[in-house]
Amino acid sequence: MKQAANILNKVMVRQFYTSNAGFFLFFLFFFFGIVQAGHIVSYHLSLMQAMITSPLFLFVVMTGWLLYNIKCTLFCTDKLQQDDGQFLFTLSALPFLKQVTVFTAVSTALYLPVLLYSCFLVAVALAQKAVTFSVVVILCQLLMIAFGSTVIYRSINKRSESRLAGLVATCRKKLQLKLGYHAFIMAYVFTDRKLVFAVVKLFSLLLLSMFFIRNGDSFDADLFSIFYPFCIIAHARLVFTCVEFNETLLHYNRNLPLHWLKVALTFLVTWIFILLPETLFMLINNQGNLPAGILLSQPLTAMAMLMLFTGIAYASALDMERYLLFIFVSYIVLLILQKAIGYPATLVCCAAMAMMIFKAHYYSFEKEK
Amino acid sequence: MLSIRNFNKRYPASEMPVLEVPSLSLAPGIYWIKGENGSGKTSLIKSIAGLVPFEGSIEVTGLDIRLQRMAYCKAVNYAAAEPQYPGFLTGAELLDFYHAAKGGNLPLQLMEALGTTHFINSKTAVYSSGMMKKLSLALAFTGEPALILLDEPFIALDIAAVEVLQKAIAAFSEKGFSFIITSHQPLDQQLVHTTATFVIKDRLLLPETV
Repeated sequence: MKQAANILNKVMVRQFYTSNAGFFLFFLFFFFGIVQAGHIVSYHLSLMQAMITSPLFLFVVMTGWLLYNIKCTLFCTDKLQQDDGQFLFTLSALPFLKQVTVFTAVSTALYLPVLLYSCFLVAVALAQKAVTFSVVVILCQLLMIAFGSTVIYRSINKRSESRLAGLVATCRKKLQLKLGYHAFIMAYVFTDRKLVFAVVKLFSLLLLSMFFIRNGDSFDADLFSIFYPFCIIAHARLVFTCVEFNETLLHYNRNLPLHWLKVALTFLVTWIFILLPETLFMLINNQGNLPAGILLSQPLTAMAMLMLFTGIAYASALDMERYLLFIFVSYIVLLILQKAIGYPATLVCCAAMAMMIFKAHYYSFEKEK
Repeated sequence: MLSIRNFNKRYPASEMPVLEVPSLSLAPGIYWIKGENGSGKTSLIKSIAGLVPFEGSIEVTGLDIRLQRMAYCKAVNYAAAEPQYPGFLTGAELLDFYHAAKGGNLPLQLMEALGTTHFINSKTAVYSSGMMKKLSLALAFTGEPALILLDEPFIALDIAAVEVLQKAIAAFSEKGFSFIITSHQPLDQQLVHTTATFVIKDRLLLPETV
């Protein structure tokens, strides 16, 4: 078991912290860099006080913990799907209890930053005799670790396809439905990237509900135009994995007489379906907050932005660091354009840029080894 | 049938070319390309198939890969050395997709002889490497291509399937299809009469001299 823990530590834990160094630096700056050194303790105590007294704030923080935990778990499941992670499936030969112990250790190690912070939170809460609050936080963290450990266990010990996948396969067989090219990428999202899809939807719908439901009465259109693109940027990882899929398992399609426009259309169809929950949510819950023109142009801009991300993924030769840098730049440019030339013109600019970048880089794409 | 001019293939982030072909013209036939591991055989085949970018020009039956890409891709088929397909698709779905894109005929006789028809309706997630290889070969023989590129076509195949494939190459060649094959295993000259053999050495494609 010691050897298994050692291997998992090297393959999952160390690599997670190494590849997310930028992410942790950002959060370190956010938590400890934006306040003066002398005020750090009082700043965090006031944050913890807000969690203890406001159930809504605690809910928002817990959502953040959940998203971080899903990020950790996805890193492990992604590793298992990669060619160099295939050897980890031999861990399924270990007895159940040993597997659970090792995976719980991995899950805990990845979740450690949140765990340490919540230890301080519980200590502060207990000092204020907030026992129920402390129990809720402890239970929440135990559930988070159990979730991570269970997902890794299930991924390694998966013997057959899930019941849902089985049901879909049976329906497809009975109805004699065959997947066409335009549905390939969508099918990939709903079979192999379900969890990423669910996390992205959870995040963006929570963000939208803050504007349309929680603050519906005092809706701020300017603030919305700054935060709505966050919902789009949350899809950046999904776009990246879809392009990666198209260039690995569908790579041979380049030998087929498929025009670049047809490939672009396949991506666009996928993005339209993927953005459907946000679009419907905004249409249903708008209640006059946004004028009709902006309400219609925002989902269309989101689709154009995802097409732009697709082009950027090709232009950056699927290099994640370069890709994220360009995504950040595109977000800033989008905000400037929306203010400078208005929503419809921004939409046209985004769509035109997206198609130009896609066309310029699709045929010249080659993944760096 | 195949014309290559000023071909130069480099990998991204590498200054050194993997392979250079200043000029090459091939008449219809069966061509065997040999070379050590990493010599550039697969890079050449992938470039001709349109899978990776390169410098220079490639034409098949007068169709330029850049200027007439759609028609070019109908004229050139490709089977990878170690094919991989999305696990959620069945072989039949992939075959339908390739057939719709390439047009022409399905290689039903070859599929029957290779035993592909027995597993074509299963998802590729449950295929062994041999089954995956047989599916990729069926896809490569789909349509009416002028040139079929086979990268290491015999690896992962059982002995019977190797013979079936060699006979198919000979039969399709008689129908006017051309082949470029990279293989470490020698071709059975009783079954497949190669038009010429090339060797890749020191980043150059050279005719093999006996």
